[in-house]
Amino acid sequence: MEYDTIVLENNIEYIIASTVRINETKYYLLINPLDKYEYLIRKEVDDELVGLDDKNEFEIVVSKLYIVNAKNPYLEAFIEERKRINSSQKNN
Amino acid sequence: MKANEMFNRAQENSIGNYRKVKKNIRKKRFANIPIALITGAVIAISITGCGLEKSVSADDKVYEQYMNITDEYGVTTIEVNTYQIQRLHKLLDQYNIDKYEQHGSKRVYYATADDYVTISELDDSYLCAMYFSSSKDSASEMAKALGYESLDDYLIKNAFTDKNGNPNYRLWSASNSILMAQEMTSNNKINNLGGGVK
Repeated sequence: MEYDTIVLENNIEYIIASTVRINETKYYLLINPLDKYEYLIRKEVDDELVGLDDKNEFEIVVSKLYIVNAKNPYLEAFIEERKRINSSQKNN
Repeated sequence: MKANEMFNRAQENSIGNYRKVKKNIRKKRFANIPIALITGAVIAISITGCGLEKSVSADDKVYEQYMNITDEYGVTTIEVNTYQIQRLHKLLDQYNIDKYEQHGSKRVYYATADDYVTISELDDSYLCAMYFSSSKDSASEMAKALGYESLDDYLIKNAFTDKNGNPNYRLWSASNSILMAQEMTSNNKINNLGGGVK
């Protein structure tokens, strides 16, 4: 299949798994096709991709991610982490 | 690598002053990449922000994408709906969840959260099919098994909400259908989940 990709500063070409727009800022969920353990998020600022500001921003974006399959052990932790984040946001 | 290590690594790789990269999106064909990794990982949905100001047009954008689902994924909305219901029934049958009443081709489940927690493969993406093919109560029981208080609680916590913060079933349905269309066209991604990347 054909995917949109983008090359980051480390010269690795990441697959754009999806995007999420929050408060008019577009975030990119990127997955390294060469390393199944590596995924990351970048945001678009002035037509450039930059890192996120802090953990809070990361958690907000993560809390918007849609989980597909909980069977994957990686996702298991991800789901737990997201639940923790969601719970924390709710309590706040 | 442990799951929490992966998550921490993702966080570490996402936050900070990395060298800015000009947005230069290419299209590339990946022959042997497990699509599972992509669709099985996480699908971000353009929806309202929690703690941030809300994106007014996000709802419409998702819905618009759903309406164009045929063009984008080459499947019809009917095919998508059929697929996700069959997918749900197949999973429940595998775990001998037979607490349902058959009405024609429709099943109305009366199983409870205690029944659904036995399903290790269960995840959020099955809720939508349960809601539309069975009932809201059925979907709520399933949501409880996934750690939510109810179906509405699931929608709110996952930001499927309108501008007033109320559950938005249309947005949820549209988003989930996109997800299902991706899954349908992704080379048996469920079976590939957890596989290595070469």
